[in-house]
Amino acid sequence: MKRWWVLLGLSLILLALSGCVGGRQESWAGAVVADGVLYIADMDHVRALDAATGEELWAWMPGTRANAAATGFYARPAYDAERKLLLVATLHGQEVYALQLTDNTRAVPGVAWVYPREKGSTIPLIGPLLQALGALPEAEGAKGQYVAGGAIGGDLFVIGNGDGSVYALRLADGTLAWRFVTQERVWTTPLIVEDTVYVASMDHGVYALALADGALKWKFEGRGAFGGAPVLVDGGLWIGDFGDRVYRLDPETGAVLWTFEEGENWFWSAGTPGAGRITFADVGGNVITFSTRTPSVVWQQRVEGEIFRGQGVWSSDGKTLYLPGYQSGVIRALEAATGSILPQISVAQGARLPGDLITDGERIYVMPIMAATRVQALDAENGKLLWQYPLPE
Amino acid sequence: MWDYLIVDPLTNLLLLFYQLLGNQTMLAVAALTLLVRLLLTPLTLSQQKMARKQQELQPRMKALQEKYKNDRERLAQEQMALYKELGINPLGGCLPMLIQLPLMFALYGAIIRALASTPIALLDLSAHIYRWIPGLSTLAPLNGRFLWMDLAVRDPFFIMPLLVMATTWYQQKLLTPATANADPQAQSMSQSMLITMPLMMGFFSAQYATGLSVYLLISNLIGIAQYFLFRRHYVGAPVSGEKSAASSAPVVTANKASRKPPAKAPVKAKGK
Repeated sequence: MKRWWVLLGLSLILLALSGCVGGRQESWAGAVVADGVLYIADMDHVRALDAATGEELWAWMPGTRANAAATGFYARPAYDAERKLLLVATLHGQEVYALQLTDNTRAVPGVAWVYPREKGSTIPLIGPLLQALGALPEAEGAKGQYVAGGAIGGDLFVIGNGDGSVYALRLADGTLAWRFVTQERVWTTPLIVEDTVYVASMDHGVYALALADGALKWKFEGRGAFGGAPVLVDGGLWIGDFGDRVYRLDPETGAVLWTFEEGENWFWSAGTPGAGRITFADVGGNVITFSTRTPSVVWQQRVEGEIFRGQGVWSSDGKTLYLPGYQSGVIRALEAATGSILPQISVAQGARLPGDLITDGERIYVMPIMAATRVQALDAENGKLLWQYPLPE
Repeated sequence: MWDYLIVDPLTNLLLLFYQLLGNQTMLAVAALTLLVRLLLTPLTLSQQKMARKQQELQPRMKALQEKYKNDRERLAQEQMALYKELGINPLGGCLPMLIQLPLMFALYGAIIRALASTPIALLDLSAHIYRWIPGLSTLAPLNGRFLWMDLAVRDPFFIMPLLVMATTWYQQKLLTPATANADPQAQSMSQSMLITMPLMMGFFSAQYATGLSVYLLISNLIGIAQYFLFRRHYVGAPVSGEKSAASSAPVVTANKASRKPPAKAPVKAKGK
């Protein structure tokens, strides 16, 4: 009898632990602003908010196919103005959704297409094994997490995945146009310039691919993994790596034009370009601004105890640089000309800011995690709070 | 403090192994687990020895309990005297466990941290890498691919959880004392553990990143190897002052040994 009590007790512990395992996970929200609407992919929902007021226009979640609790969004949505499509990709669900927007901004969008069309094998457990052994055809779609958003170029939506591949999907129907395989996770948003896709991978490589068919044009090998997207400014492709370096590459050939080798920590975020300069902030709290025309360091600043992961924005007058402080959960403000530290902007108690700051010129949008407040809109000129979502109770 | 003193060094040691072993996460995890288990071997053996001694004492303890069932104070005195006589520290079995468990949790924490399956986990890792060791910070993220597995996510084929369950069961079976003369309550508990431990480990393996399964599997295999290498600590050598104890037939050995008839060879596992 005693034995069964022990079994029962252990089963209860297992049950409790399984509750912990299946708990709701925090996401790494991303947003895009278009036509006065802020689209955010956050936790397990995609929401449309009035950019001026923060009023929720609609909310959508991919509950029909994926396990909503396990879905979650990290990737920033992409907006296709021509087709009025909003493209979102789930972290664990390994799916890309194209939501069909309408002129009615309050209407919940329908799903135009989803990639992959069919989700893996229908034979549980054995199916994926048979696929891996080649006995069944390989399932369509990505096998890893979608962490960074995609980019739109021509008729294609290009997005990297944690399985190491870059997928190009046809915007018309979501079918796969091409796939390019790298050796490690692709956690960066591709940059599309005319007929070239520039994408960085955790395999230490920056790749230039032909937009039409994914053919490799050139590859550059960095010292460390690449976690941030490349930025094209003043004829140079700027990117930082986990090898504590910032590179300026020739976009045509991939040749190194200039390297900053005195970095002290990982450069994870993409650079913030503006007025002949580009600023990189590392995960050790160092902020460095380079001149983009004659590559050189303009100023360096250290923000003690801070971790910078997300991309920053400039104030509308170009005088202030705003950077999301992951560790402190506040927005760090630095004087654009000298790098002097200005008063910080508090966001939400206990929050962290891993994501990029977004701006539409009028407002700066910040998406904190680990906080009840999911979005805040700040005045792009002076950083004052305009609204927050959801409204505090 | 815990992170600073225990988890961080283990995390960086794992990265160092990764660097030295050709950027193979699987090998690095195996090497680190092996190292920690080897360092803990004296404690493990001491714990096993104590556990065995305690088992062997059971009949005498039971006799004392029976004799002094109405005099708790005297019972406690007699028990302590018995422990003293046989040179057993009553807490001797717990102490190694108290040291080992946190270290094993820290080892698991280090592996999961180094694997950094999510962006936030990778961000967390960045703050824990020793930047004074050349080249360490450029290693992340670790290459988590090995055979069919991505160590940073669950095993989609459930092969690793099944292996973990099998090895946990086998190790548990080896370490479960024979039940012939043991306390029925302890017997019952041992038998329950034989079922529930593999299930529990299998469940964790199926739920968490494959890196955990790798760690559990390697840990189990090392545990099994240790059993065979240091068998006398597990199977039993004579306890000092055992003459009187042996007479009351406490042949408590691991399962395999107990398959031999105990009456003719009480407590003879030294392999002379």
